Amino acid sequence: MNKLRTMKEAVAEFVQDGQSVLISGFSINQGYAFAHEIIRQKKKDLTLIRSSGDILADQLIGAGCLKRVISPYVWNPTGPSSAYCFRRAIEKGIPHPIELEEFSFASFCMAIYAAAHGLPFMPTYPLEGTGIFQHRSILGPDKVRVMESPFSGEKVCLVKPLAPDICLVHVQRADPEGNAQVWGPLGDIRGTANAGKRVIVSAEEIVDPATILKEPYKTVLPGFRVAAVVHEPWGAHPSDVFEYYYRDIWFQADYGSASRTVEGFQKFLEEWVYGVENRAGYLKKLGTKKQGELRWRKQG
Amino acid sequence: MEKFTPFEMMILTAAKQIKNGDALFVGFHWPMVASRVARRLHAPDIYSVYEGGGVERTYCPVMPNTGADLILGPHLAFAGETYDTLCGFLAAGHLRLSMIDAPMVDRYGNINSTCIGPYRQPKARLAGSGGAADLGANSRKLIMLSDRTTKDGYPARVDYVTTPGYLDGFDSRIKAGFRPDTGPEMIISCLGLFKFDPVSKEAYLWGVYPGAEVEKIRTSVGWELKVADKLAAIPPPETEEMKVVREELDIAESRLWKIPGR
Repeated sequence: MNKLRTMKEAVAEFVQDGQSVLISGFSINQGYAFAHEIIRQKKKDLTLIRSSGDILADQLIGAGCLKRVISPYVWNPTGPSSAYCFRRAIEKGIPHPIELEEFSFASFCMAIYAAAHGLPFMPTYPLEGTGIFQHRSILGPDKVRVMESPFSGEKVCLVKPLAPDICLVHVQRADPEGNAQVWGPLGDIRGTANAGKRVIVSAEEIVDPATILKEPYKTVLPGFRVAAVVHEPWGAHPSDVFEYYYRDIWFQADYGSASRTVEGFQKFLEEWVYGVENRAGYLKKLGTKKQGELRWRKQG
Repeated sequence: MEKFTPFEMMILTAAKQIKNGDALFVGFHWPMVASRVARRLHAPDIYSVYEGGGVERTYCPVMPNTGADLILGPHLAFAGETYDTLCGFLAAGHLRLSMIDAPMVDRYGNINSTCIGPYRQPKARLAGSGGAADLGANSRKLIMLSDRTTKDGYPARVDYVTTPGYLDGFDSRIKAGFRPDTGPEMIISCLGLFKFDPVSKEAYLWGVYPGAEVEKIRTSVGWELKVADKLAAIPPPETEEMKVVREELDIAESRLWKIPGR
């Protein structure tokens, strides 16, 4: 079955206002093409679930698409510096206040694991005494619960499944049926890709089913788990994709400077999101020289 | 004597905690620089474990943006998942030590990297935990690195406990459910080296760099600092050691890292 769509079609068909949306990829394989199309289509009141908030979350917050964020952290790793839209939303309610639920990365992974594996909850590492335990918003008392281990009697923290309405995953390659492959260090991709019922994949390359069958150990999502496939080369820029391209730290730094002010951020959106029709337009703007510099070489 | 800044000394002293052959968890920021310095000076055969699922085995000439930066590609002995590294090797106790950045650390070794001021209405909102809370929970020997030199970097109590240290001191960490073999080991900072009292779990000054003034250190932390009866004197750096520290800071700067004093 051919599940190929354009990004525009996939987002219009599968992402609805008010849904919880998980964008997979840790600081690698970030679904920027998904995020920018969500911004262009002016989706509203979404709950973003993401392991590494990063400037992807920052852009969705600044563009006013999100009502809620569930994430272990939101920042710009280059510098490092603040995620300024995130800061404005939390500190000053600009463009509007957001509700934030914070996990530790490991407890986030455990909650994702519960969702991906059909479990009622997962035990996680101790959190009592931390701000993460103390401060609760979206999930309230259900954020973390504590019980005595029925085996040893020791205290155990528990998290419940973190299951999004829809998962968006950027991968190295997929076939038209949705068999999707990622390799290199995976972060939380295998878990987050499988946390939701509905999964949309974007891929650097669309390959023949035979290519998938040759290296099945690279597959993180078998085709039956995938509702739609988008061919989106450089779909994770400015993040990195193993054996495809490196992280664009210069772009991240420029974004950091631009997003310091509301005006600067709006200008960034005009230029890189609203000002281009799709990812192909973005790539044209990025230029072939830059692509050449970032393209994976044999030696890191 | 080879000239040095307290910041350079902090990086070098941290690097010296790493033994050749170690498997260690490397948190973001200064721990990355310290582990690279160690790899070049005396510990070429270490495994640097990162939360993104990678385990670095050889020296990468380019400074990674974060521990998950794929520029590390050809230097990885293991490319797995966060479930393997942060939830696996670290949590199951297979790593001798961990290092974490401590932008604000209090008298009981709790780190705040979440917010300045009240959580609901912060004066400044920072990044948040990432794996920092898990490093505090599961590290068998957690070494904290601070580049701060003033009181706001060393409050009596942090505004928000991102990384759990000894919480309220004494047995409060155990009561909260943390394993007895986990917890902070020392703070290596621009001020000097701090260890934790075995009973009260309060940080005290354990060692100083050449030329440091104890009185000045006392007034740079937010609590009444206790000082070891016999203060350890950290020896001055060798020329080669400082050369490597500076080269690594140059490499970091070339990759857009902000370096204190530059």
